[in-house]
Amino acid sequence: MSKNFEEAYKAEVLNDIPDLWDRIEAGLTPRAAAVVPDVSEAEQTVPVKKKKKSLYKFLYVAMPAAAVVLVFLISIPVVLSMVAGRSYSKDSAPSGQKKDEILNAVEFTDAYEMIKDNFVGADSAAQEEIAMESETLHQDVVTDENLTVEEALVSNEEITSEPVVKNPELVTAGSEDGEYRILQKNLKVEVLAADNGRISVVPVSMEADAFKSVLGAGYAGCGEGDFTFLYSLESACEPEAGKTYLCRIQEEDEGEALLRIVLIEEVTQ
Amino acid sequence: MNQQEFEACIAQIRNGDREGLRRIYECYMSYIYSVIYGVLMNRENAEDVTSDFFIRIWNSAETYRPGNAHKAWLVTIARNMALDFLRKHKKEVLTDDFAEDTANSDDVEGEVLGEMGVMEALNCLTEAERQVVSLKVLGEMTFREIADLKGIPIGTITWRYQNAIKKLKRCGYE
Repeated sequence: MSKNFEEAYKAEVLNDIPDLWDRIEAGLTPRAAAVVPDVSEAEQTVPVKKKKKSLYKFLYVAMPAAAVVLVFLISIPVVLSMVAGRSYSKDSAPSGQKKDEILNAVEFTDAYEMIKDNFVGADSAAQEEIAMESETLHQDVVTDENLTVEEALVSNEEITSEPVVKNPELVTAGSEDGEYRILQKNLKVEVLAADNGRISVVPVSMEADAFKSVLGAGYAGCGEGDFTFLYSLESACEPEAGKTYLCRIQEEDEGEALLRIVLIEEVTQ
Repeated sequence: MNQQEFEACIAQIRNGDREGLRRIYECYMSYIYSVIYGVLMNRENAEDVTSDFFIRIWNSAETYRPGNAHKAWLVTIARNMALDFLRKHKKEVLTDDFAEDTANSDDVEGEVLGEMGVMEALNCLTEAERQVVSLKVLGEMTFREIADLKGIPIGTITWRYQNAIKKLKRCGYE
């Protein structure tokens, strides 16, 4: 015959409970005089709790909403700058001075190609000569430090609408103190538009080793100095030929350098 | 003790009259003790916490709001005090009322053992099953509350409880 476990268990537990009253009474502290139930105090505690709850509820709702609004506000200038940059590049008119600068840059490109073609097999003296020549060319092309990207924008008829620079080369005339630092491969170049809006991150590929020894990228210690680069834009989104960009070069485990670059394109006659 | 009688006792306590507490003690002592014992599963500790419980009632009679279910108020305080005690003494062995050797629990599988005492039947359970049964039956806790207390999934709790019930049935209990 089955028994009810719950009843049996309770009965067993309560079987021999000692009388605890003496212990309890010994632990009682004398109470003060009659305490009238303070209804007003009890009622006062309720609104306080409600206030806390409502405050928490408000925070739960307000914080995500504030985060969404913040993200929205941050994204507006970025989107506007991208839209403005595109429309400006399409609609802006060229200036004569900047046009000349771009033409100079094109000349520099041709000269650079010539130097590159003639370089292999040259001795050290010839290398120095070539370096000086390239530096001279570079100085002709270097953009004024105060030049903004918009100012440098040239919509040249001689420059094709296809903005991608085809030669994947990195060229610089070097720093003033003549100390060149050779960039390693697989560096990443972050191209910045005039308003510092990031366009893309593109890998920089180097020239042949012999060519590097002369025209190695002397970015060490150059800070925000002006250099002219030819580099490959493998995934750049609509870089404009003739525009001046800020270029941040960053190695994997070292610092970074901020350079100003001008996109140069080969002239297709 | 009905609601009015209980509130009268509380009023006496507020006036400093120990007779009110005495009447509550006589009426609810066994009930409160079983609840506390269900959580602690140790007589000495249950007696200590039960004593402290009535002292707490004496000291905090003002917190009782007339009109509320007084039994639920008492059980809530008792259970919370027992759980506090359990947390403070977590590392100590609290279930020494039962045999430490639970080898008998395996013998129950697939075997009807017939009638036996409730403590013997409980010894057929594993320690974990015994705790769940005790908290559920004596402590009057829900599976959710037990799961929160133990920090294990509620499915594990219900599974242990059903396992324990099966074993107890084989011991002649339902």
